[in-house]
Amino acid sequence: MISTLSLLTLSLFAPLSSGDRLVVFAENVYTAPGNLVEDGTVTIEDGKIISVKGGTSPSGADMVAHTVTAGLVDMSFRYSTNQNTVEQSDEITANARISEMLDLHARGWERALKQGITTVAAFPYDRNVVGGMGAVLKTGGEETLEARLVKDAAFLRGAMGSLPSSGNRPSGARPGNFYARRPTTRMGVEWAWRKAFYDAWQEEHGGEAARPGRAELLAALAGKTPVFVQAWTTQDIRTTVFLAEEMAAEGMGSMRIVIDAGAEAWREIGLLTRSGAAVCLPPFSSDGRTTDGAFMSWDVAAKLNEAGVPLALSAHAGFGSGNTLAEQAAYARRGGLSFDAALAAVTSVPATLLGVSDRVGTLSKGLDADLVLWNGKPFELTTRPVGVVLNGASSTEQK
Amino acid sequence: MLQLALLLAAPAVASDALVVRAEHLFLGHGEPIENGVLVITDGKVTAAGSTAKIPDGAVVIEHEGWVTPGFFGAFTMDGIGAERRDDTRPLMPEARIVHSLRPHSASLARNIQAGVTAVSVSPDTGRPCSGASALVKTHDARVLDSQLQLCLDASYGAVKTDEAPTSLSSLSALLDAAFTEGAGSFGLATAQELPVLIRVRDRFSVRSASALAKKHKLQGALFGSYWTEDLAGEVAGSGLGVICDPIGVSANQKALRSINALVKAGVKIGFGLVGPANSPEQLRVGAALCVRSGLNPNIALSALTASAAELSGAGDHAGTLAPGRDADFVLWSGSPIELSSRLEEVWVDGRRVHGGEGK
Repeated sequence: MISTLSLLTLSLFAPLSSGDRLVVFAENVYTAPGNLVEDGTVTIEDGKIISVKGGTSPSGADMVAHTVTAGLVDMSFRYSTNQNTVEQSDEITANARISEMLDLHARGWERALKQGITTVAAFPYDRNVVGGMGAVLKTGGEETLEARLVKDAAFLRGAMGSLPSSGNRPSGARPGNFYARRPTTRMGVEWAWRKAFYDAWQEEHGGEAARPGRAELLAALAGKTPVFVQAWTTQDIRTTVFLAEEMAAEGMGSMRIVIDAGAEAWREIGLLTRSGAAVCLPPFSSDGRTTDGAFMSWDVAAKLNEAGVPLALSAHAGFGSGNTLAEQAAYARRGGLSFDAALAAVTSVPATLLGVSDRVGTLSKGLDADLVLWNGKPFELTTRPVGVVLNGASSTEQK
Repeated sequence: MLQLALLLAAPAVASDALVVRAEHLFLGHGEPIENGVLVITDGKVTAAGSTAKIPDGAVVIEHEGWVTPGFFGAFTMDGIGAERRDDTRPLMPEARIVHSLRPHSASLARNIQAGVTAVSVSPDTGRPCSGASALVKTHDARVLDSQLQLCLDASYGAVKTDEAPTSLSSLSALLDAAFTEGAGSFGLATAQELPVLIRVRDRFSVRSASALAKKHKLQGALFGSYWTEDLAGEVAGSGLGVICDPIGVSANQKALRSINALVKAGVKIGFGLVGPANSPEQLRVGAALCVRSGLNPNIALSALTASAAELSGAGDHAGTLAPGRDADFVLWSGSPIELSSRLEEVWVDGRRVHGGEGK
């Protein structure tokens, strides 16, 4: 029996991240959801996986664990994104880039890494209707954008619902400041979305002078970059899908939609299936109540997966006990989601939706060596990450 | 539980014909038909009248009382919470209130118990153009039309102190310019493809809204009947109908006289629901008070059903029992204009959704 103790022993006495070659052994290596390699050895060189072999022995391994999975991917990582990431001069700021606004020195990145999250998608705080372009980053390594960026401008980010319409006219503010340009209702938010796309389209096809963000909006319309839309409630999910369908009906493009924080997606399974939209769920809540009055059922993940809707889970950068991404997967399991689908929802599916599956999300030759080492079967409440490898380096001292 | 069992046992069957034979059958317009027959197949009306043939094997319901179309609730803000109006811009012709609609809102459901089977959910007034209303069935919040009617306000209510328009003059100019330019929904309105609803609150706005409609050949209705008494001729000349202000038991004589003046001038009227401030139960009370003050009861009934729907842009979908329409109707113990009459059953799409045995 390979015990956690042996791993800890190795961890304590063998500094692992010094060389450029690393060998990791686990009784169970999940190279991809549904693909289990027993007694597997993952060999890493220069930050990349060079082989995964089954039927091996732990002798000679630098690190040993009960189970190894790919590093977790959280595509709705709401960290280091506050009011200061909202360009206030307009409600449509498609060209704003989150990559230029992140504080990579903040503590939360490392906390995420310790919990097994190696790749995240970051985006501006959802106070604008269209906030800007999101980025995909690693959570560890040198604290520079160059070192951490996996993909910049990976998706267009915006929101439906009450958040982008709740910032108008702070009490006591004088009229005429730029807060007064915000929509004050959901219908105004939808209007701003639609106007943005139509304006960008007409500028392109009518030869009008281009405003900033036109290229980003057109790329989203054409489906070249996906559109991540925060939509907690039934009505906001409907609005998002209808917007995409209207653009398609008008011959303006075929948008790839990801509904983020779709707590009430369980009410609109048919619509989501029809539209081909993917869903990223927000963290589960103990009484089902979430933002905007949206009710999230325990079985929402299972239902979406059963219907074939691409599904990702997120912890929204919750780091406390009960709020980690691995625990979200456990809650989804409790609601009926299979182990393989839960693993997919925190690794391969978000990697694919973010367009970075050639780098992360699974364990295969040539991909980034991002691994989570577990002391038991993942997503059980008795299981926790006991080691994390990022870009081939054992990144954290586990406590 | 008893309720559920009764509903399941209701004789509404999706594929088989259902016949309702009523002592008095009102179809939405004109005189009620004595011993009228309503034939329903697959949730739709397939025949209605005094001579409609009863299909072989049809389930027949004999009703000793009145049958009317489901009432139409013109101008309601049920189901949209506080998101009634976007205050960002004076003109938002492409905004659609449907995006603020919460389909599972309890406030929509209460309409069924008053016999209101369809409503126009509207953005609030108070901006020169606040967007498009939506046609919603109250039983299941199904949206039949998300761009039903363009909602405007030609009154002092749309004049602000801190942003344009800041005067009645610039308000009129703004609306006139929008229809003259004719972009988007404004163009649909001038092409008679999208009806309008124009809020009026005083004689000035009755006059300016009527003139606006006449100049740009708009179809639809004014919203607000109280100030129309002296101006019924101008309203008639505009081609618009009027969605009336709700009439409650405390309504004064002027409110009632205005409605009668409109009808005498040949203006089509519909009663406004104006929820959630007013209860859907109040629609029938208002109609009864108007009849007491001289309104023809058949016109009052039409103003609760077909005329209200037509003036809201929903005439093709609601308010009338005619072949091809959704079988949405109400069984009453007597005329709904008589306040002693009871609502006994409400049917939507050929299925009983409220009332029945044991009620």
